[in-house]
Amino acid sequence: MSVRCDGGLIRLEGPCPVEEAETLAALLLAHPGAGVEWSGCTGMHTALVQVLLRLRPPLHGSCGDPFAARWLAPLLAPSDDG
Amino acid sequence: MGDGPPTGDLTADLIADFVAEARELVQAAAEDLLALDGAADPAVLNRVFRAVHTLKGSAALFDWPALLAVLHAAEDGLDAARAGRRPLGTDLVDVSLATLDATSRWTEAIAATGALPAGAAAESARLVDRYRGLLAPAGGVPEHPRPPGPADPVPGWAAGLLSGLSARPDGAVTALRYLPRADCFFAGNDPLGLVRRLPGLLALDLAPAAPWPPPESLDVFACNLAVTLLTADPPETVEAVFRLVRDQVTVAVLAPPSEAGPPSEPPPEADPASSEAATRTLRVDAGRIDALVALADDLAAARAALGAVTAQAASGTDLASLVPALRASDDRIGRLSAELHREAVGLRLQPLARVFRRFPRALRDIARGLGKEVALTLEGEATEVDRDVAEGLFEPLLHLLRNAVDHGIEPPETRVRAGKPAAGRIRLRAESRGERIVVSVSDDGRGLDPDLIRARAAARGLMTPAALAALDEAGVIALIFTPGFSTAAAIGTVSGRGVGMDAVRDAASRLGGACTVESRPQQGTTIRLSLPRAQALARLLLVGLGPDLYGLPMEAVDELARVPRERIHDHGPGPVTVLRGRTVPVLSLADLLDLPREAASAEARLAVLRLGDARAAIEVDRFAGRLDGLVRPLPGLAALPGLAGTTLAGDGRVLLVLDPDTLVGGWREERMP
Repeated sequence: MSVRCDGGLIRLEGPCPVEEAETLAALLLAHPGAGVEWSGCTGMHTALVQVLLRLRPPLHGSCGDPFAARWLAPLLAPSDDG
Repeated sequence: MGDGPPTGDLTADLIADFVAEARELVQAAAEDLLALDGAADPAVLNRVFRAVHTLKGSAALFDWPALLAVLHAAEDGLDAARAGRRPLGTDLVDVSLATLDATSRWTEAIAATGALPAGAAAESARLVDRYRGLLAPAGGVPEHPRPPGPADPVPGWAAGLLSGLSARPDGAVTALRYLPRADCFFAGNDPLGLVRRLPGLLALDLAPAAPWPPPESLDVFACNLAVTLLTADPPETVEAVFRLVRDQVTVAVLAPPSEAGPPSEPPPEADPASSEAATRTLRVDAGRIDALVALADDLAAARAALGAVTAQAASGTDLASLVPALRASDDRIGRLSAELHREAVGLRLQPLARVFRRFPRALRDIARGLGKEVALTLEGEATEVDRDVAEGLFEPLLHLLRNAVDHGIEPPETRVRAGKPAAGRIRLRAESRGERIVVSVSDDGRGLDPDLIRARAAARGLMTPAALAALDEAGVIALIFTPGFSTAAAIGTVSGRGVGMDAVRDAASRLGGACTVESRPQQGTTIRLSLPRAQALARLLLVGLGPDLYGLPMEAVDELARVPRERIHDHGPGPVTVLRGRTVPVLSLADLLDLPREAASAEARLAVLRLGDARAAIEVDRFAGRLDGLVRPLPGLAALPGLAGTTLAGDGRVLLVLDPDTLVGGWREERMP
């Protein structure tokens, strides 16, 4: 269970492999405006990063993967120019 | 959810093989290193390097990062000495001996517990630092054939990131632009997984490579990212990390601010091949160069055609209407790159004469030492073979020649009594057979004596007496390849050096080949090594099982099918289904590999394999794309049926490649006893 919907939040947990990108995109498209909670995520495939970059959901918590927290979080912050 | 060990015997076997191999390699490399301490002999240095290289490759099969890191550092250090980029001083010998010592201790821990001991990570980091210190003397600028103080002009794509850097490090900064291929996820790549491996990352930017499609038509498995980054890691490190996607990256070295003047020299393409050019030259037939140039021209033309399509796309032409042109372009570039690969591989071919020529002298010395007379004939020296195969052949062939003189050829008086010429004849011969070459060593000596082999095998306890008695003659003769058979049994001072025919067979299998023996009493013995002529890229279908990916050679895959579970029936001998009007047995890959099965999905994913006339469907959890890769045989795993070797995925992960014949062959014997 690396990607699951929990109330109004989509949670990323543990290592999130490439296959989860589809689930994540489907959940985000089905719940526009839903936030993503990623503090339990310990690693993320580029395909999921791409989904977050494209759909720019609000991110909650700081990512459990230090690389993502340090380098990806600033790039994935919601923007208005999307 | 099962509580058994998730990995099973497969891993235990792999570990046992690793331990056996590591012990041997560490010991050999340590002896060689000690010899190097006196005088630098390039051949010996090369041997140490290869031992470390082989160890690293084997360790990469497991999750032992501390071991892998230190072996990687050792490999880099030895490679620098080998290529003449730094002298082989006592400091490098010392740290390498310390590395082998650590590897040896860790190997024993692995043998006992299956894991690295506590403290390995810290020790590994210390050793890696020592190597780093040796390779980057003085000002911390790594020694590299890049001319001193090289710097590229700041490329436009790096300017933004560079100006955004709050604190610029003192040394040079490496900038990288990485445009992963759209289908890279299918090839198993994780582009950011590569970025993650740069310890000196300073700045990172991600942007869509082309404008985003609307969210509804988002294809999550098509990569549309442009990665730009700055790092304090030297360009060699960056290139090493991105070596498998070299065609998709651009690297630039940005000088420290104070030195940012005009570059002293146009920046060379920082390719390891060019860095070795200074020390290693390759004689190449001019015709091959012409063919390469012609291919490069074709490739440029194909690129131009693709450029025209891209321009159309950019000018707003309906994308769907461009698909045929894109597909044609993809086909053409694919064909050309395959040809280019074939030609480039051809450059690595060299005639065996260079190896063969070293033997006459060696053989004369051996024969003299044993009081025998021997005449050596060489045949097929012009046969061409991959450079690595040629290099890897010297040791096993020398061993075979030694054996022939020591055990095969009789003393002159015995020969004369038997009506043979006093001087024994040994023939070393190479011939081409399609994509393989066969190298054989024949002697006209006494031949192998099956009774003697039986007696020795019994004395060494290699098999039970009953099993021995049941072997036919060929089976008995094949016993000479059993580890432990010849170690002490080869009593002669020349060949009794603790390596036997098993080492020869292992060397052949490391080179992707096999070894056979044929012997007639009183007429002589012939040992044949059958080897690949060149490295070939295999097209692999990636299949997933639980968390793991495996490669299946595409040539064996007939079709992929998704079959509703209720259409798989079990009529006694095992599950079958009907595909295109034919009944096909269905086997689970998990069962074949002795791995736990996942819960069955409603639809079975089947890879239908062609095995001679028969077909068999292998059920996997998922299909995970395609990969073109170089399949390296697993050393010493001949006893593990079902596996052909390993290959590197785009992200540097090692994948196991399945061998359909032995994978399914074992099952066939079980089902049809």
